[in-house]
Amino acid sequence: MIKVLYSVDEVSDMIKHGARLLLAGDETVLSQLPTGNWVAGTSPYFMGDNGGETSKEKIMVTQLPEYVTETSIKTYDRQSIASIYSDIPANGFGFLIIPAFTEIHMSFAINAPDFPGFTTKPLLGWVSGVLLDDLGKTTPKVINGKTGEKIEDRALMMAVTLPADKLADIRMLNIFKQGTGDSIVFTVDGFEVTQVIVDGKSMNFADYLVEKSIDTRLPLVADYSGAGINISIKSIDKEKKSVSFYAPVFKDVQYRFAQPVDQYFQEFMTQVLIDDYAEFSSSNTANQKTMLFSCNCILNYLYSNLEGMRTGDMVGPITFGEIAYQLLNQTLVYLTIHSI
Amino acid sequence: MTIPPVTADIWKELILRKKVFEFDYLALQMLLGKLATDVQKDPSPAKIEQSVSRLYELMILNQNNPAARRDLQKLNA
Repeated sequence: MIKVLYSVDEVSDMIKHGARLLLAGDETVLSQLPTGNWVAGTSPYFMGDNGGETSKEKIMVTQLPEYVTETSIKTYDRQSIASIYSDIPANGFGFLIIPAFTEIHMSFAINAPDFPGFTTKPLLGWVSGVLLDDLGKTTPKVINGKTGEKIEDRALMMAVTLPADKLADIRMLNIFKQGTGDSIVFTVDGFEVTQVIVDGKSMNFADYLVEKSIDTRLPLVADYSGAGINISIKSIDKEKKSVSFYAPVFKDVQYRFAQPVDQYFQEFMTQVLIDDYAEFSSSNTANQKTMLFSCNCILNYLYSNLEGMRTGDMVGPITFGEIAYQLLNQTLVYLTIHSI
Repeated sequence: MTIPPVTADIWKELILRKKVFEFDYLALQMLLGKLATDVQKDPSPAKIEQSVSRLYELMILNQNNPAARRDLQKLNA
C-alpha cells in the first residue's frame, strides 16, 4: 500500500519540489501549506493507508504523474460553471471540488446535466465538508494552491492535460441496486420536495415515508442504462411535511428505493472486489491502466462503519458528495488512466 | 471500431428506449439517461434529432475509451 496520508511538513516539501497535487484535509492544516501547483478541499475524513480515519492533522495526497503535460486552475460561480466542460482539455480530465451546502453546490447539482458538452469530457471530483461535530461552526471550503485563497462560495477545478498516449476514464461503484418496490416520480427538480407520484398516485412524500416505515439509510435509485444513480434522504420535516435530499431529484425520472443491504461493509467490499478495479489492482504495470484517484461518500463511511476498516487500494477523501460528470451521492467514484 | 452513422436507427431506438442495453461507459449511461427523460417530456422530431446528435457526438469523441468501445460492440452486435 502506497502512503497517501501525510503531515503538513511532508506535503510542504512536495509542493516546494514542484509536485502537482490534489489534496484533502482539515482547513487548519491546509492553511499552513505554501503556495504551489495544488488544489484542495476540506474534509477530515479519509480512507487512508490504514483504513478509514478521521484526522485534523493529516492531509490526503494525490500526486499527478510526471507524464501530465499541463495543469490549470480556475474558479467558478453559478453563472460560469455552465461552461465547465469547455474548460476541460480535449485529452485529459477536469478535477472539480465544490464546497458543500452552498449555492454553487445546489446549482451544479441541478443544472450539470444541461451544461453544454455534458459528459463529453471526463469531469470528476468531490464536495468538500467539515467534521460533522463542527457543522454550523465552520464552513466547507476549497483552496486554490496557486494563490492560497480559501473559497467558500465558488467551485474550483484543476484542468489536467494528458499526453496523446494516455486516456482518462471515470468509474463509479455503487453498493445499492434499485429495488422492486413502488415507482416514485417527482414533479419538480430539487433538493427538497413535498409531493410525489407513487405508482401513478399523487401524495405527500413525507407521509409516504412514515406510513411505509421506509429505512431512509437506503437511497432512492434511478436506473440510467445500467448505472444506478442514488438520491440519499437527508431529513424529513414533519412540520413542513417536506423531505430533503443530499442530491437533487429530477422531474419525471423513475426512482425506486434501493434493495436492503444487510451487511453494508461486506457488500461494499464485495463491490470493490468484483469491480474491474480488482483486475488491475493486483496486476503488474503491463496491465496498462492505473487508478489515480478515488473518493467515497460520508454516508458509506458512516453506514458501512468504515472507520478503521481497510478497503484495499480504494483510498481517498470521504466526501459530502461525489462528482462523476454530475453530482452523485452514496457512491464511490474513481479515476483510471489508460495507456493507449 | 465501427460507429453506426448518425442516421442509423439504433441511436433513435436508444433515445426512445425501444432498445435497452446494460452499458459500461458511465458517460454514455448518464447522457442517455438524461436524453431519454428529455425526449419523454418532449418527443418532437427536432428534440429527438438533437438528442441523437448529442449521443453520437459523445461516442465519436470518446471512441478510444475502452468502456465506450465495449458498448459500441453491443450496438454493432
